Amino acid sequence: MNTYLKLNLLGNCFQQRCYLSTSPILHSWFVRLTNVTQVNTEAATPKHTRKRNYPLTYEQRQFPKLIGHTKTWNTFNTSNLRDGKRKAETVSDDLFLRQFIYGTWHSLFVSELIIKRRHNMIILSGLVTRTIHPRRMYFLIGYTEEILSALLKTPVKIEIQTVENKEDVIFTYW
Amino acid sequence: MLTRTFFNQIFLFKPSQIPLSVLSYRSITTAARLKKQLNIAATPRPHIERPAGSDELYKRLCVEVRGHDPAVLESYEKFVRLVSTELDVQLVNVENPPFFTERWTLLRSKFAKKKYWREYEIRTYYKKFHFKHLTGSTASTFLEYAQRNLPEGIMMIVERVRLEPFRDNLVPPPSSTITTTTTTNTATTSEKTSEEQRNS
Repeated sequence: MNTYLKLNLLGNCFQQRCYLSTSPILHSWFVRLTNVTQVNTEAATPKHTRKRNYPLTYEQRQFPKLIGHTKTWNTFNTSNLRDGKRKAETVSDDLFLRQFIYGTWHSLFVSELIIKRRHNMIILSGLVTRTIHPRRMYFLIGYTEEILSALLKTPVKIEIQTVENKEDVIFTYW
Repeated sequence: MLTRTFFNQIFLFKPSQIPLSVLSYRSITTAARLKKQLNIAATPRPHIERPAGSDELYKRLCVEVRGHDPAVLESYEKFVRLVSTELDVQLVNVENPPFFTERWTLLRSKFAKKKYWREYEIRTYYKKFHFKHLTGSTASTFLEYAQRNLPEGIMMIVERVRLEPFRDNLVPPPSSTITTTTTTNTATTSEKTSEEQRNS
Protein backbone atom coordinates (compact mmCIF):
# COMPACT_ATOMS: atom_id res chain seq x y z
CA MET A 1 0.00 0.00 0.00
CA ASN A 2 2.81 2.39 0.84
CA THR A 3 4.57 1.99 -2.50
CA TYR A 4 1.30 2.44 -4.31
CA LEU A 5 0.68 5.76 -2.58
CA LYS A 6 4.19 7.01 -3.31
CA LEU A 7 3.84 6.29 -6.99
CA ASN A 8 0.60 8.20 -7.12
CA LEU A 9 2.05 11.29 -5.47
CA LEU A 10 4.91 11.42 -7.95
CA GLY A 11 2.64 10.87 -10.90
CA ASN A 12 0.16 13.64 -10.16
CA CYS A 13 2.60 16.46 -9.42
CA PHE A 14 1.18 18.68 -12.15
CA GLN A 15 -2.18 19.24 -10.40
CA GLN A 16 -3.08 22.84 -11.08
CA ARG A 17 -5.42 24.80 -8.90
CA CYS A 18 -8.51 25.68 -10.81
CA TYR A 19 -8.75 29.47 -11.16
CA LEU A 20 -12.54 29.36 -11.06
CA SER A 21 -13.94 30.08 -7.62
CA THR A 22 -15.53 27.06 -6.03
CA SER A 23 -17.64 29.01 -3.57
CA PRO A 24 -20.82 27.18 -2.52
CA ILE A 25 -22.85 30.29 -3.37
CA LEU A 26 -21.98 29.92 -7.05
CA HIS A 27 -25.40 28.85 -8.26
CA SER A 28 -27.75 30.41 -5.76
CA TRP A 29 -31.14 31.79 -6.67
CA PHE A 30 -31.53 34.08 -3.63
CA VAL A 31 -28.15 35.80 -3.85
CA ARG A 32 -27.74 37.99 -6.88
CA LEU A 33 -24.18 37.49 -8.09
CA THR A 34 -22.41 40.46 -9.62
CA ASN A 35 -18.74 39.50 -9.76
CA VAL A 36 -17.46 38.89 -13.26
CA THR A 37 -15.81 35.53 -12.62
CA GLN A 38 -18.96 33.97 -11.26
CA VAL A 39 -21.66 35.57 -13.37
CA ASN A 40 -20.21 35.25 -16.85
CA THR A 41 -19.45 31.55 -16.66
CA GLU A 42 -20.47 28.91 -19.16
CA ALA A 43 -20.62 25.20 -18.64
CA ALA A 44 -17.41 23.38 -19.59
CA THR A 45 -16.03 26.46 -21.36
CA PRO A 46 -13.05 27.80 -19.39
CA LYS A 47 -11.77 31.33 -19.88
CA HIS A 48 -8.11 32.04 -20.54
CA THR A 49 -5.86 32.15 -17.49
CA ARG A 50 -3.32 34.90 -17.04
CA LYS A 51 -0.35 32.53 -17.29
CA ARG A 52 -1.96 30.31 -19.94
CA ASN A 53 -0.98 27.14 -18.09
CA TYR A 54 -4.34 25.47 -17.40
CA PRO A 55 -4.08 22.05 -19.11
CA LEU A 56 -6.84 20.86 -21.39
CA THR A 57 -7.26 17.52 -23.11
CA TYR A 58 -8.43 17.43 -26.72
CA GLU A 59 -11.93 16.53 -25.58
CA GLN A 60 -12.03 19.42 -23.10
CA ARG A 61 -10.79 21.84 -25.76
CA GLN A 62 -13.83 21.01 -27.91
CA PHE A 63 -16.37 23.13 -26.05
CA PRO A 64 -20.00 21.95 -25.70
CA LYS A 65 -21.28 24.12 -28.55
CA LEU A 66 -19.36 21.82 -30.93
CA ILE A 67 -21.26 18.71 -29.81
CA GLY A 68 -22.80 17.25 -32.95
CA HIS A 69 -20.29 19.05 -35.18
CA THR A 70 -16.75 17.99 -34.26
CA LYS A 71 -17.51 16.46 -30.84
CA THR A 72 -19.57 13.38 -30.04
CA TRP A 73 -21.22 12.40 -26.82
CA ASN A 74 -19.75 10.37 -24.00
CA THR A 75 -22.68 7.96 -23.82
CA PHE A 76 -24.28 6.13 -26.72
CA ASN A 77 -27.83 4.98 -26.13
CA THR A 78 -31.22 5.11 -27.78
CA SER A 79 -33.14 6.75 -24.92
CA ASN A 80 -33.20 10.20 -26.53
CA LEU A 81 -34.28 9.09 -29.99
CA ARG A 82 -37.89 9.40 -31.08
CA ASP A 83 -39.83 6.68 -29.20
CA GLY A 84 -36.77 5.95 -27.08
CA LYS A 85 -37.35 4.13 -23.82
CA ARG A 86 -35.81 4.26 -20.34
CA LYS A 87 -34.64 7.87 -20.46
CA ALA A 88 -34.40 8.56 -16.74
CA GLU A 89 -32.97 5.17 -15.81
CA THR A 90 -30.23 5.46 -18.42
CA VAL A 91 -29.14 8.87 -17.17
CA SER A 92 -29.10 7.80 -13.54
CA ASP A 93 -27.19 4.63 -14.43
CA ASP A 94 -24.66 6.74 -16.33
CA LEU A 95 -24.14 9.08 -13.37
CA PHE A 96 -23.68 6.13 -11.04
CA LEU A 97 -21.22 4.46 -13.44
CA ARG A 98 -19.09 7.59 -13.73
CA GLN A 99 -18.95 8.09 -9.99
CA PHE A 100 -18.18 4.41 -9.40
CA ILE A 101 -15.33 4.33 -11.90
CA TYR A 102 -13.97 7.64 -10.60
CA GLY A 103 -13.91 6.22 -7.08
CA THR A 104 -12.68 2.71 -7.83
CA TRP A 105 -9.91 3.60 -10.29
CA HIS A 106 -8.07 6.09 -8.14
CA SER A 107 -6.82 8.89 -10.42
CA LEU A 108 -6.19 6.38 -13.18
CA PHE A 109 -8.63 7.54 -15.83
CA VAL A 110 -7.27 10.48 -17.84
CA SER A 111 -10.23 10.76 -20.18
CA GLU A 112 -13.96 10.86 -19.68
CA LEU A 113 -15.64 7.48 -19.35
CA ILE A 114 -17.32 6.45 -22.62
CA ILE A 115 -20.47 4.40 -22.00
CA LYS A 116 -21.89 2.40 -24.92
CA ARG A 117 -25.13 0.47 -24.71
CA ARG A 118 -25.58 -2.37 -27.16
CA HIS A 119 -28.65 -4.60 -26.73
CA ASN A 120 -28.58 -5.26 -22.97
CA MET A 121 -24.82 -4.84 -22.57
CA ILE A 122 -22.96 -1.84 -21.20
CA ILE A 123 -19.45 -1.32 -22.55
CA LEU A 124 -17.18 1.13 -20.75
CA SER A 125 -14.12 2.63 -22.42
CA GLY A 126 -11.52 5.17 -21.53
CA LEU A 127 -7.86 6.02 -21.28
CA VAL A 128 -5.97 4.80 -18.21
CA THR A 129 -2.44 5.61 -17.05
CA ARG A 130 0.01 2.84 -16.34
CA THR A 131 0.76 3.89 -12.76
CA ILE A 132 -0.21 0.53 -11.25
CA HIS A 133 1.04 -2.97 -11.94
CA PRO A 134 -0.81 -4.80 -14.76
CA ARG A 135 -1.83 -7.54 -12.34
CA ARG A 136 -3.65 -4.96 -10.20
CA MET A 137 -5.25 -3.56 -13.32
CA TYR A 138 -6.56 -6.97 -14.33
CA PHE A 139 -8.02 -7.34 -10.87
CA LEU A 140 -9.67 -3.93 -11.15
CA ILE A 141 -11.16 -4.82 -14.54
CA GLY A 142 -12.59 -8.09 -13.24
CA TYR A 143 -13.84 -6.52 -10.03
CA THR A 144 -15.60 -3.64 -11.81
CA GLU A 145 -17.20 -5.94 -14.39
CA GLU A 146 -18.50 -8.36 -11.75
CA ILE A 147 -19.82 -5.83 -9.29
CA LEU A 148 -21.39 -3.56 -11.92
CA SER A 149 -23.08 -6.50 -13.67
CA ALA A 150 -24.55 -7.54 -10.33
CA LEU A 151 -25.70 -4.00 -9.48
CA LEU A 152 -27.12 -2.98 -12.87
CA LYS A 153 -28.39 -6.47 -13.80
CA THR A 154 -26.83 -6.21 -17.28
CA PRO A 155 -23.58 -7.58 -18.68
CA VAL A 156 -20.91 -4.92 -18.20
CA LYS A 157 -17.66 -5.02 -20.16
CA ILE A 158 -14.62 -2.79 -19.85
CA GLU A 159 -12.42 -2.01 -22.85
CA ILE A 160 -9.72 0.37 -21.74
CA GLN A 161 -6.63 1.68 -23.46
CA THR A 162 -3.55 2.59 -21.53
CA VAL A 163 -1.37 5.66 -21.75
CA GLU A 164 2.07 6.21 -20.25
CA ASN A 165 1.19 9.22 -18.12
CA LYS A 166 -1.17 12.18 -17.89
CA GLU A 167 1.05 14.50 -19.93
CA ASP A 168 0.36 12.36 -23.01
CA VAL A 169 -3.27 13.48 -23.16
CA ILE A 170 -2.74 17.18 -22.57
CA PHE A 171 -3.55 18.89 -25.85
CA THR A 172 -3.13 22.53 -25.00
CA TYR A 173 -2.79 25.02 -22.14
CA TRP A 174 -5.62 27.49 -21.72
CA MET B 1 -79.74 12.09 -54.15
CA LEU B 2 -78.41 11.93 -57.70
CA THR B 3 -80.87 12.09 -60.54
CA ARG B 4 -80.58 9.41 -63.13
CA THR B 5 -79.12 11.36 -66.02
CA PHE B 6 -76.98 9.73 -68.67
CA PHE B 7 -73.70 11.10 -67.30
CA ASN B 8 -74.58 10.48 -63.66
CA GLN B 9 -75.67 6.95 -64.30
CA ILE B 10 -72.42 6.00 -65.97
CA PHE B 11 -69.83 7.76 -63.87
CA LEU B 12 -71.31 8.64 -60.50
CA PHE B 13 -73.35 5.57 -59.59
CA LYS B 14 -71.80 2.45 -58.17
CA PRO B 15 -71.18 -0.32 -60.67
CA SER B 16 -73.79 -2.50 -59.00
CA GLN B 17 -76.44 0.15 -59.60
CA ILE B 18 -75.61 0.69 -63.27
CA PRO B 19 -77.78 -1.29 -65.70
CA LEU B 20 -75.83 -3.72 -67.87
CA SER B 21 -76.60 -1.92 -71.10
CA VAL B 22 -74.98 1.30 -69.92
CA LEU B 23 -72.07 -0.41 -68.19
CA SER B 24 -70.25 -0.88 -71.43
CA TYR B 25 -69.95 2.91 -71.85
CA ARG B 26 -67.79 3.06 -68.77
CA SER B 27 -64.22 2.00 -69.16
CA ILE B 28 -63.44 -0.53 -66.52
CA THR B 29 -59.94 -1.29 -65.24
CA THR B 30 -57.87 -4.10 -66.63
CA ALA B 31 -58.35 -6.17 -63.52
CA ALA B 32 -62.12 -5.86 -63.61
CA ARG B 33 -62.12 -6.66 -67.33
CA LEU B 34 -59.99 -9.70 -66.82
CA LYS B 35 -62.18 -10.84 -63.95
CA LYS B 36 -65.20 -10.59 -66.18
CA GLN B 37 -63.43 -12.44 -68.98
CA LEU B 38 -62.05 -15.19 -66.80
CA ASN B 39 -65.38 -15.47 -65.03
CA ILE B 40 -63.73 -15.74 -61.67
CA ALA B 41 -66.96 -16.14 -59.72
CA ALA B 42 -67.76 -19.33 -61.57
CA THR B 43 -64.34 -21.03 -61.38
CA PRO B 44 -63.67 -22.94 -58.16
CA ARG B 45 -60.93 -21.68 -55.85
CA PRO B 46 -57.78 -23.78 -56.28
CA HIS B 47 -56.73 -25.55 -53.11
CA ILE B 48 -53.09 -24.74 -52.30
CA GLU B 49 -51.14 -27.47 -50.53
CA ARG B 50 -49.31 -26.23 -47.42
CA PRO B 51 -47.58 -29.20 -45.81
CA ALA B 52 -47.24 -29.16 -42.05
CA GLY B 53 -44.11 -27.43 -40.79
CA SER B 54 -43.65 -25.39 -43.97
CA ASP B 55 -41.95 -22.03 -43.65
CA GLU B 56 -43.75 -18.72 -43.40
CA LEU B 57 -43.61 -16.47 -46.45
CA TYR B 58 -42.93 -12.78 -46.09
CA LYS B 59 -44.03 -10.53 -48.92
CA ARG B 60 -42.28 -7.48 -47.52
CA LEU B 61 -39.82 -6.70 -44.75
CA CYS B 62 -39.28 -3.08 -43.72
CA VAL B 63 -36.37 -2.38 -41.40
CA GLU B 64 -36.37 1.17 -40.06
CA VAL B 65 -33.22 2.37 -38.36
CA ARG B 66 -33.00 5.54 -36.25
CA GLY B 67 -30.03 7.33 -34.78
CA HIS B 68 -28.53 10.65 -33.79
CA ASP B 69 -25.59 10.46 -36.21
CA PRO B 70 -26.23 10.30 -40.00
CA ALA B 71 -22.67 9.10 -40.66
CA VAL B 72 -23.22 6.03 -38.49
CA LEU B 73 -26.49 5.29 -40.32
CA GLU B 74 -24.73 5.55 -43.67
CA SER B 75 -22.04 3.11 -42.62
CA TYR B 76 -24.76 0.75 -41.41
CA GLU B 77 -26.44 1.08 -44.81
CA LYS B 78 -23.19 0.03 -46.49
CA PHE B 79 -23.04 -2.97 -44.16
CA VAL B 80 -26.65 -3.98 -44.87
CA ARG B 81 -26.13 -3.74 -48.63
CA LEU B 82 -23.08 -6.01 -48.43
CA VAL B 83 -24.89 -8.50 -46.21
CA SER B 84 -27.98 -8.62 -48.44
CA THR B 85 -25.86 -9.33 -51.55
CA GLU B 86 -23.87 -11.97 -49.67
CA LEU B 87 -26.89 -13.73 -48.18
CA ASP B 88 -28.89 -13.34 -51.42
CA VAL B 89 -31.71 -11.32 -49.84
CA GLN B 90 -33.55 -8.95 -52.18
CA LEU B 91 -33.09 -5.36 -51.05
CA VAL B 92 -35.60 -3.34 -53.04
CA ASN B 93 -34.56 0.15 -52.00
CA VAL B 94 -33.17 2.20 -49.16
CA GLU B 95 -35.33 5.15 -48.21
CA ASN B 96 -34.08 8.25 -46.34
CA PRO B 97 -37.07 9.85 -44.59
CA PRO B 98 -36.42 13.42 -43.38
CA PHE B 99 -35.00 13.78 -39.88
CA PHE B 100 -37.13 14.73 -36.91
CA THR B 101 -35.98 17.43 -34.55
CA GLU B 102 -37.17 18.30 -31.05
CA ARG B 103 -36.45 21.94 -30.13
CA TRP B 104 -36.33 23.97 -26.95
CA THR B 105 -35.77 27.71 -26.59
CA LEU B 106 -34.34 28.47 -23.14
CA LEU B 107 -32.93 31.49 -21.38
CA ARG B 108 -29.21 31.91 -21.86
CA SER B 109 -28.55 33.50 -18.46
CA LYS B 110 -29.14 32.26 -14.92
CA PHE B 111 -30.80 35.46 -13.75
CA ALA B 112 -32.82 38.09 -15.69
CA LYS B 113 -31.61 38.93 -19.26
CA LYS B 114 -34.91 37.98 -20.87
CA LYS B 115 -33.69 39.37 -24.17
CA TYR B 116 -31.12 36.59 -24.68
CA TRP B 117 -32.27 33.06 -25.37
CA ARG B 118 -30.64 29.90 -26.66
CA GLU B 119 -31.95 27.22 -29.01
CA TYR B 120 -31.37 23.55 -28.26
CA GLU B 121 -32.41 20.63 -30.42
CA ILE B 122 -32.27 16.85 -30.53
CA ARG B 123 -32.29 15.25 -33.98
CA THR B 124 -33.39 11.76 -34.94
CA TYR B 125 -32.26 10.62 -38.38
CA TYR B 126 -34.13 7.80 -40.15
CA LYS B 127 -33.26 5.17 -42.72
CA LYS B 128 -35.58 2.51 -44.12
CA PHE B 129 -34.52 -0.73 -45.79
CA HIS B 130 -37.19 -2.45 -47.89
CA PHE B 131 -36.77 -6.16 -48.59
CA LYS B 132 -39.11 -8.45 -50.51
CA HIS B 133 -39.86 -12.13 -50.97
CA LEU B 134 -38.28 -13.75 -47.92
CA THR B 135 -39.02 -17.01 -46.17
CA GLY B 136 -39.43 -17.11 -42.40
CA SER B 137 -36.12 -18.77 -41.69
CA THR B 138 -34.22 -16.46 -44.07
CA ALA B 139 -35.82 -13.44 -42.48
CA SER B 140 -35.05 -14.50 -38.92
CA THR B 141 -31.45 -15.40 -39.78
CA PHE B 142 -30.86 -12.19 -41.68
CA LEU B 143 -32.46 -10.04 -38.97
CA GLU B 144 -30.48 -11.79 -36.24
CA TYR B 145 -27.21 -11.08 -38.04
CA ALA B 146 -28.15 -7.47 -38.80
CA GLN B 147 -29.22 -6.88 -35.19
CA ARG B 148 -26.11 -8.40 -33.69
CA ASN B 149 -24.07 -5.90 -35.68
CA LEU B 150 -26.22 -2.90 -34.83
CA PRO B 151 -24.02 -0.08 -33.55
CA GLU B 152 -24.60 1.45 -30.11
CA GLY B 153 -27.07 4.32 -30.10
CA ILE B 154 -29.02 3.00 -33.10
CA MET B 155 -32.62 1.86 -32.76
CA MET B 156 -34.28 -0.65 -35.10
CA ILE B 157 -37.98 -1.21 -35.86
CA VAL B 158 -39.01 -4.13 -38.08
CA GLU B 159 -42.30 -4.49 -39.96
CA ARG B 160 -43.15 -7.76 -41.66
CA VAL B 161 -45.98 -8.51 -44.09
CA ARG B 162 -46.78 -12.22 -44.09
CA LEU B 163 -48.68 -14.22 -46.71
CA GLU B 164 -51.53 -16.31 -45.33
CA PRO B 165 -53.72 -18.83 -47.13
CA PHE B 166 -57.22 -17.57 -47.89
CA ARG B 167 -59.77 -18.63 -45.31
CA ASP B 168 -62.07 -21.33 -46.60
CA ASN B 169 -65.07 -19.97 -44.72
CA LEU B 170 -65.02 -16.78 -46.86
CA VAL B 171 -67.07 -17.73 -49.90
CA PRO B 172 -68.26 -15.39 -52.68
CA PRO B 173 -72.04 -14.93 -52.83
CA PRO B 174 -74.04 -17.10 -55.29
CA SER B 175 -73.53 -15.89 -58.88
CA SER B 176 -75.74 -12.90 -59.89
CA THR B 177 -75.89 -10.78 -63.11
CA ILE B 178 -73.47 -8.11 -61.96
CA THR B 179 -70.79 -9.42 -59.69
CA THR B 180 -67.80 -7.22 -60.57
CA THR B 181 -67.55 -5.53 -57.18
CA THR B 182 -68.01 -8.61 -55.04
CA THR B 183 -65.42 -10.69 -56.84
CA THR B 184 -62.53 -8.50 -55.72
CA ASN B 185 -61.92 -10.73 -52.71
CA THR B 186 -61.45 -13.98 -54.54
CA ALA B 187 -57.71 -13.67 -54.93
CA THR B 188 -56.05 -16.89 -53.95
CA THR B 189 -53.84 -15.40 -51.25
CA SER B 190 -54.34 -12.53 -48.86
CA GLU B 191 -52.04 -10.44 -46.74
CA LYS B 192 -51.85 -10.47 -43.01
CA THR B 193 -51.15 -7.16 -41.32
CA SER B 194 -47.67 -6.46 -40.05
CA GLU B 195 -45.99 -7.07 -36.74
CA GLU B 196 -43.50 -4.83 -35.04
CA GLN B 197 -40.44 -5.49 -33.01
CA ARG B 198 -37.87 -3.14 -31.52
CA ASN B 199 -34.25 -3.52 -30.73
CA SER B 200 -31.20 -1.85 -29.29
